[in-house]
Amino acid sequence: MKKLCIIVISPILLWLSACITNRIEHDITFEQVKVFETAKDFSAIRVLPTLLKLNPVDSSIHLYFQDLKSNKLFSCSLTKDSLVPNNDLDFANTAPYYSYFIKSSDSIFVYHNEPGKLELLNKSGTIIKEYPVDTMYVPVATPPSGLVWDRNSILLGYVSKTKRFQSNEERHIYYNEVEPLIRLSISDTILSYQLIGKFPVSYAKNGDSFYGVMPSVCCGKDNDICLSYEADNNLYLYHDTTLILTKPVKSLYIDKFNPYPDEKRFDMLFLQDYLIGEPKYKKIVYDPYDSLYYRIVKHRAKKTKEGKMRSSYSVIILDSNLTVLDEIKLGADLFPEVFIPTPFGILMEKESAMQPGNAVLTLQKLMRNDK
Amino acid sequence: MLIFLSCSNKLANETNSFKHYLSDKFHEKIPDAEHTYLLIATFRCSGCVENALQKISDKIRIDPNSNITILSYDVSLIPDTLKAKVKVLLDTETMYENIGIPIANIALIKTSNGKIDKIEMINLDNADEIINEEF
Repeated sequence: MKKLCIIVISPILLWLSACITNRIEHDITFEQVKVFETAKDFSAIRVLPTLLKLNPVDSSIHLYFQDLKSNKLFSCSLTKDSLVPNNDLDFANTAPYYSYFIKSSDSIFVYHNEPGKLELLNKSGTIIKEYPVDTMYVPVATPPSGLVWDRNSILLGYVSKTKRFQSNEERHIYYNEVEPLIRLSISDTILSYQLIGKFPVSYAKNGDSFYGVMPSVCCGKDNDICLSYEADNNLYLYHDTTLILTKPVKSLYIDKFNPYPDEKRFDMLFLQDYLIGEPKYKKIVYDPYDSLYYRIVKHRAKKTKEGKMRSSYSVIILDSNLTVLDEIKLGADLFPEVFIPTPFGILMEKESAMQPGNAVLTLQKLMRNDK
Repeated sequence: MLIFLSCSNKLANETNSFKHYLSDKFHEKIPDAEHTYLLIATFRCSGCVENALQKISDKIRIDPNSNITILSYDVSLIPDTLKAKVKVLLDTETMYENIGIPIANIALIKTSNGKIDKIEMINLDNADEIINEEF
């Protein structure tokens, strides 16, 4: 009997010890290095995609934001110790944050969906150049990615002009035949076009709708393009238009994805609950300072005692070959709506300790506790 | 008897929390006469809310005893023509979204005798039908 116990238990113990060893090997944590308590409530503020450049004079970087309540754009200078608002954008704005790409404070790209047109503005909002889009193509600036800068080109979502998306049958065809991304290469005042990517097999299989259909996109090592879909476990790595890697990167916190029912298409109350309640991969972010990818995961929301839905988040950390290093659950006071890798750490949104209900920004440093 | 009780109490919780909200925030109470409240949600289809409010404005007349109140967090969402015809209560903190009545787009709340009789969401597909029936 003793022998039998040893035979049965030993492999379990070995397996457990392997798991524990493995866990210690990849034990990564976020450690707070700074909180920037300001009067501004960052919970209704979104980040404009920006080319981050360290200013050698004062070791600062410029970040750009949009206040969703007023639509106003504003910028801040971030150093390792301070976050100071600037007034270097001075124009009336009507476009949403995901329509912008800030190459520098005086070189601002904005894409208008209707009609398709890319504009280059200076810091006063004056149009320096206009790039009308060939009517054959329908690029769209839309969350989760908006405009992604890749060398001298801009990546945008892409939708078909002719293919419908209303039923499972139509979506089955759409997912199989339409590319989700388009590259607008800029030369002088002319754009050239390249369609990129494929929708996931898991979407195409039944033609299900998951409401957010566009992938989150980022440019990683060697200008590879990484695609992450909200309701698909895989990550996809492209070089130019070629798929070079597909990797299953499943969150420990996602059980399954429920498709959005077609009959609830116009039901805003149902949609609101669906968007808050369902889990999803919110976005993929590349950290050029640590050569890491971060996949932000929104967990299935649970109802609080007051009947409100509240989500928690985690971050899957991957190396540049998309190998998972760890998944870190974020504290209840951290929100990854702002998640910007900087030379000083990762800038995130955090519930203000001084003004509960409001959000401030915090710098978090990734600590590898390899033993 | 039980069925009657459950029907009469169907929206009792909602009535209670709406009453408290109106009283705490605006020192108002739900009138005895029939009244319609329109609550503008922050989660809304851009353009749909403005369209629906414009349609309501086109249907109703200027009436000093208007029985319509709009609760909004942003007064610019309400067409000027409608502002002249209804009462507008501004709550920039959208506290009406935290009183236990789930809302999206526009919530239409019908009241009488100081109680909520009906709550409906005005969505893209039913806006015309509700506006025709209720205004």
